[in-house]
Amino acid sequence: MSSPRDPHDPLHEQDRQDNLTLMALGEAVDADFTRHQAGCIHCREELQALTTTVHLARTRSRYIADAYPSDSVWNAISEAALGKHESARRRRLIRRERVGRFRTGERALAAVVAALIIGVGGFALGRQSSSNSHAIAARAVLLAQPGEPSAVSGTAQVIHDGSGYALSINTHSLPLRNGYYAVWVYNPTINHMINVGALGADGSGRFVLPPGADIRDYNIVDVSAQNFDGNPAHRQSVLQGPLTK
Amino acid sequence: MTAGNDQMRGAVPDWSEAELARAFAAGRESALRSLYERYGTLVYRIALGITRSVHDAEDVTQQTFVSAWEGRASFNPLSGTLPGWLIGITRHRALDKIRADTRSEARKRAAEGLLATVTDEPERIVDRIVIADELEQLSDDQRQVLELAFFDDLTHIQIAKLTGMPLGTVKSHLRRGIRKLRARWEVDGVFTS
Repeated sequence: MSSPRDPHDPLHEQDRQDNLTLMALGEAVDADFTRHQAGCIHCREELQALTTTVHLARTRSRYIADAYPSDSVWNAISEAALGKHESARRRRLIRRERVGRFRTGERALAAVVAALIIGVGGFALGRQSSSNSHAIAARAVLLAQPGEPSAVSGTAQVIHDGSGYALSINTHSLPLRNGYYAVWVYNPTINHMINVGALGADGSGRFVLPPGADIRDYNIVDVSAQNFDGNPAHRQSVLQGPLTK
Repeated sequence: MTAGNDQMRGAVPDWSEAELARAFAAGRESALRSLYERYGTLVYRIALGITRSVHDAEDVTQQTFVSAWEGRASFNPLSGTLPGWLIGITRHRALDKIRADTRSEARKRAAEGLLATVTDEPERIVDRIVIADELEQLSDDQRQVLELAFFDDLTHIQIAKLTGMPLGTVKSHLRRGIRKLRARWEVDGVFTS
């Protein structure tokens, strides 16, 4: 007596797997397959593994499945392994952000905004002074972000030349990696950022600032580590600093 | 590692496991941070599952990552995955922690009953957590369908009616999702037969 269909015919592999899946979940399948499965060592073994998988999945502890370690755990690891103390202000919360937004948490953002309000105020942009063809309108010291080697540093200058504003970046000790470094100007008030280009191999670059981007609003300079994966979204900050007069 | 704890979102989401392992072995401090962000919750949950104590689980988590960092040269990619290696260290530390606790007379009686249960099946605790971790990382559709089957006991036909998905799509999510859970369990689980 032969079945009308051989469950191990490669054409029916998906059906065979579907049947075993449903059996593992405790659902009924047709009698022909049940008969086959009972007598077939391959299907029996596969069903056993799938049934156990389902059982282990079903009997998870909800409490454990929702548990997360407190912030203090990373601090303790960082101190013990790296000898680094991460203060609450420097600790960065990572969020899976939509394109166009920073990968920084609200605490870091609040710290940046507070610094701007307290320490920086506004600065005036030099306007239409054609004799001063390369006036430096603003500067920033770029600091290594948490998780980056402390030797990494950089500086930025906003230069007003006749045709508009340019951002000049110099960096030191950026690690070699399989990727590129993107430069951004960031507006903390509305949490928007603009990509102005990529650093050269020597870690420096000069970028035209788009005319619509007022550096009094987009007053944070950021350098991020990006991959050659066709995804332009800001990944991870390596350097960052506020522009000052 | 989904909602609830912003620290646990992928810090270096496009670093492959191999790249992370290389950077970690090379002693890059940012790789330790990335390792923690990627696997810290898993390690913590395994520690919590074995020690049944938040305080002890946090200690074990810290010890695991510090040990991993100090012993990073001993990770061999040919003998297992990075999370699998971390899980091994975590289990070791967690079981040590329980044994150490039972030496304290004051807690011994309370711990004895718990210890018997836990040491009977610490592997199953780990396997449950590993599978739950993989479930969290499935695509939203696969996870939703599997959760309805696992925890609401819906049949595939009921799931199709509830979600509006075609029956074939539901079966496909179940079929592929369960196989992913199984595959992860067989690679990173402890008691896999």
